[in-house]
Amino acid sequence: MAAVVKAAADTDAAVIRASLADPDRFAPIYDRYAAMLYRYAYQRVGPEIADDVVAEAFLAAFRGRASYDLDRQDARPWLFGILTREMATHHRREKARYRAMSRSTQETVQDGPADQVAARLVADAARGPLAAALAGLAPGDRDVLLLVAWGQLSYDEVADALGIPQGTVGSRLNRARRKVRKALGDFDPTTTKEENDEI
Amino acid sequence: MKSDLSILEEFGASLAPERDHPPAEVRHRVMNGMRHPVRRPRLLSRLNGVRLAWRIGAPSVAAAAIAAALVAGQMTDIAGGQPAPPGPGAKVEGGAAALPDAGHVLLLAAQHAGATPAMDARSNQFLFIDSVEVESKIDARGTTVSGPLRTRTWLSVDGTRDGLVIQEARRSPVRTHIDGCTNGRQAQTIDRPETTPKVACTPEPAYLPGRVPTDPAGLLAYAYKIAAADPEWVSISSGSGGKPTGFVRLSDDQRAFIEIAEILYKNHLPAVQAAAFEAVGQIAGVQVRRNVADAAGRVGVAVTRTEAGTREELVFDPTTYQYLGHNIIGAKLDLNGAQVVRSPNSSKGTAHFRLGPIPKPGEVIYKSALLRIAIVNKAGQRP
Repeated sequence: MAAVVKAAADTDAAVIRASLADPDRFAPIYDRYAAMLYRYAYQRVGPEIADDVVAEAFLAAFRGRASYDLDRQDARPWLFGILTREMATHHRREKARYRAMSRSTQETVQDGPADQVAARLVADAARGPLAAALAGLAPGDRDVLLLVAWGQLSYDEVADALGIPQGTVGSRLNRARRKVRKALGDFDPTTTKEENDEI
Repeated sequence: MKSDLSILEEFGASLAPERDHPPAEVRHRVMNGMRHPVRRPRLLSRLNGVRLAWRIGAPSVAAAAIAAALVAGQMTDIAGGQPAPPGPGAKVEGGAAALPDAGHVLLLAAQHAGATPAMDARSNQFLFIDSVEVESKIDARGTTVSGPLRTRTWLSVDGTRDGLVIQEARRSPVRTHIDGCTNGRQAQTIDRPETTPKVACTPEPAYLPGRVPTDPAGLLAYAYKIAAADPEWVSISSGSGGKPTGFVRLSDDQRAFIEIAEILYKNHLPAVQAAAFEAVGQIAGVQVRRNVADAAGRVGVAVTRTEAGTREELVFDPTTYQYLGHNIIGAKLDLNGAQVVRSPNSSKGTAHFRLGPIPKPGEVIYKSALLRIAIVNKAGQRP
């Protein structure tokens, strides 16, 4: 019996279920996902408010844990959804941040492993146009694009996180990627034929 | 050739933090914020409309009807004093006449409140609210019924100063600080000012004209506006493993009724109270109920509204129509016409999850009875 309980406690759903009756048991959710959410928030809203949005997202998750769908074993999409909503209040600031990046001069390339330096080179060249493109996206499109590119969520998970149909995820992603490709077009044209029009 | 997504990923990597984990203080803040206060006055839950941890995550369930008995002498301050306002009320209560309808009771209550002289209050003083609460809740250890618990609340007269709640508990009183709206800033979770960030706010005076309108139509609109902005879902049953099988969303009418009950607790300006009673009369579906006991054991006439297995009651003295308090009682769960969803799935509002069985009809979920109000100079000072 005890063994069964222990094994079941490994899933996020089991942890959240246990926390309904005993709030202290929610802590493992933080320990599992804090780093992931922090990285994502830091990338989007920057160091000044990443701490705040992450703390608030976890507290919102804690307060809303009763509405968690316990059939979903993995809480990651749910948490990214909550984090996205917490960050939404900062979307002007996020946009201003991308704008500032698009104007700033390119960073000098740092020393490091060759592959990383090479990656940095491309990233640095792309930095201005990319930041400008991100600043120009509609907030909903940006959420989808960055959940995929930076949050590493699958389309299903993005749909789940944002509470939108998969078709909407696809159309938002296509629209956002078109703008990004357009921005990148000048130095690294990467047009592919697979993209369709909006659904 | 790199795809746009992988270039974007690299750009993202260049923006990532140097350390993997958020600072330790973030964890500290989250863990503190999750700490569950032992007791919290429920009606204060949405002070100022800011998110308040008190309310959230506090599933409560009826256990058994509670015979609440309190020293009778404490009640005279509130129930006595004011004579019944002249008017049709005396006739109605007199004989075996038909039960007055809810509108009638509320009108008399509004007249009583309107005839109550306002106390002198300076903006830097505090409204002292002496009350008693009964609450049943279920947690990992089972169902516990607490109360009657004497609850003393101090709220800033103008809403800008920090308030205080002291509730008697089994071992020692529990003190909760309430963050005031100072210089337009207030803790996002007002009972946990240390652990949540400050957000912009508008002061909510406890005893001065301010945010809450003093005319019935305005107050009603105010309550509905809050209701629409902050919807509430209630779990209708729990399936195997304590998992909710569905939620219903409370109607805006029910939410507005609850909002007004909260206003009645936290704003005691006679003009607000009078407007609130009249406003309740405009809400569809209110009913009247006789012989209803409040948390202090006083029996009165109640104006009620029932939905989603819960009956909300505003209790009045049957002869003076003085407002006595607010009850939440289990009721028959009627899902006719209700829209049941598996999960609230909304970015706003609150979901209440009842652990264990849903309250049986008639079981007490919560009661709060008002014993006395006064104006004092400091939070924590008794009149």
